[in-house]
Amino acid sequence: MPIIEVENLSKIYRTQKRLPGLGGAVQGLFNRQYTEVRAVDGVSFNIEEGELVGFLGPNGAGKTTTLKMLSGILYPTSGTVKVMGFTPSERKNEYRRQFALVMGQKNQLWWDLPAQESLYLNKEIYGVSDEAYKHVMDEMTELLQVKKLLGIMVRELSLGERMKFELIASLLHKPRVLFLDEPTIGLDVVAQKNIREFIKDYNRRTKTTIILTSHYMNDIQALCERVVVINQGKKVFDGMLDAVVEQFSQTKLISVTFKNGGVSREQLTSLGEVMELTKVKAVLKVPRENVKKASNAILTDFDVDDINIEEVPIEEVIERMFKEGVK
Amino acid sequence: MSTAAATISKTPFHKYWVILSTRTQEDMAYRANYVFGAIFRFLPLVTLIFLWYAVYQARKAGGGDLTIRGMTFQDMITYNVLMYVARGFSSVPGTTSDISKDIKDGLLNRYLIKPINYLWYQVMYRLAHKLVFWYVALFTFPPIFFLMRHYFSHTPTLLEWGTFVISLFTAFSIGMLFCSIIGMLAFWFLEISTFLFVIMMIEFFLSGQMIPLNILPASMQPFLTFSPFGYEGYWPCMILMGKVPQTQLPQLLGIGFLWVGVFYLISLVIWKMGLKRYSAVGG
Repeated sequence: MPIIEVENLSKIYRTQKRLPGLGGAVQGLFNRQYTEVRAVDGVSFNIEEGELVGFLGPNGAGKTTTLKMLSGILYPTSGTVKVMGFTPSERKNEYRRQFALVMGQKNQLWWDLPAQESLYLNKEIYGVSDEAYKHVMDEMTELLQVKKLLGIMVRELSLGERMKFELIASLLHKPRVLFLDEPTIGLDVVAQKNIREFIKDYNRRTKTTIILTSHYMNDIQALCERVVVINQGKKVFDGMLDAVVEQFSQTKLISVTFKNGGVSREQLTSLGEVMELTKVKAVLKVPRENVKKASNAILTDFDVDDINIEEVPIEEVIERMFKEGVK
Repeated sequence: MSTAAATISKTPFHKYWVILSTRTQEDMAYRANYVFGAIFRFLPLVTLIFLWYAVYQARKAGGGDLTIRGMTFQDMITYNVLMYVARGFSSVPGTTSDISKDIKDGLLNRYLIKPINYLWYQVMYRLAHKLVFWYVALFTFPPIFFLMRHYFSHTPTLLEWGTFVISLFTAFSIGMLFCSIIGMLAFWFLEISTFLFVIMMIEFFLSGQMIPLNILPASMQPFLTFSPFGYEGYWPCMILMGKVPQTQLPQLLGIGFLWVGVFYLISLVIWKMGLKRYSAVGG
């Protein structure tokens, strides 16, 4: 049985439409007009226990809104959500003791106290036993290398250090389901990598079910085998990350290094779209079905030193997918 | 990995106790601020003494009564001093704006996902504020009271002391609940600061902070007895000053408790309704 079941989930926000300027504001007082925004529109998916699934989508696609409905912060407008058999919007304590939501931009640590005070507070809120608390703390502070920082005021910690404590605070009660909303946002490359590795290792060791949203393709590529792609509130893809490329990219890249150089653009355009051209190197974008023909032509027509056929980088595929608006 | 094994059940109140103690620690970082506040809050008292002195002098010169609705000049000053004590319980600064900010900016999210009751969390948070306030006041209030001792003419009975203490808890509860309810209006209205200002002025007046409520027209008195705001200041002061007949004490406490109950129910309903509307912006 799936640990997370989402069926035809929709969330419609009703916001007041305001005409521009002072006149519009006055008019709005008497004659209110509302616009409906379908933030999430008929989304369905199932997630099995222990899976680490990535949510992909541009800003405003509905990723975070979906996570908020999964964690019971928002009531769905229609559709059903079941997590571990609970209906999240009922916000039963029994449910809330078994999941965690980490938001990269929000923090739960108390600003004017050392991090350990906030951690202890969470221990008590979740009713974690002393032994379990000590065990998790020893393990996590070691893994994330923040043991020495426990006694320092939160306001004096760096963003990366705070994120590590956020994670610890959210994992103290050993949630069975973990929602991570942009956990690496704003972090430098090293900190991003640290957090990423920790999440991967944690999922592997504990079999915690994790849903991750991120703007950074690196996060998704490093962590998730399966992705759910959401655009304009609708699910447009659900499957293996590799399959995204196959499904949405109709082209491949052929990079060629020439022995002697001096190849002109005109000579190449008949084979495919020239993406890059220097004296000795060229990158061509070629439709999948023409790859074989094009590479043969290159090998016979030119003096080739090296030839490479690659998939279009996933970032580019997804970027295009969003830009063009997949149906 | 079993979650159930990792959790044990202490009393459900234990976590709120930890919230209280954690917040008290954090608030202690600002104790210097509290000390300044505690000293300078008495400045308006100087103005009040001059003002009421002028009023009573004018009545004396005019050959009029030396009491106003049963209050002598001394009583009037005692009333204003005691008001500081009552407000030390019923005022919960920042509650309304914090709650409305949590709602408007989506900060509420972090409480909604935890096994915790947000309104009780707020109560503990404010209680911690009161604890630090009174910790500091323990040093700043006695000298002021000592300086003012000549104004105190009534020695309260044991019954009056008891009723006074209970009325202070009522004062805190009413103040806390009222501020929470107003704060939760942010579920419906984006900007409540002007409305808030009006409401706070009404509360300020009807709680008797500006003038004792018995000075107001007799026709208003039944309304004032039943209004919740008097229980935030006026009644606790009058009880300790011995201005309330013994037989009326139970009735006053009863009405106070009634308002606590009514406000509590209203806050629960508003909370439930508000969450349905909540849009959890940001993040």
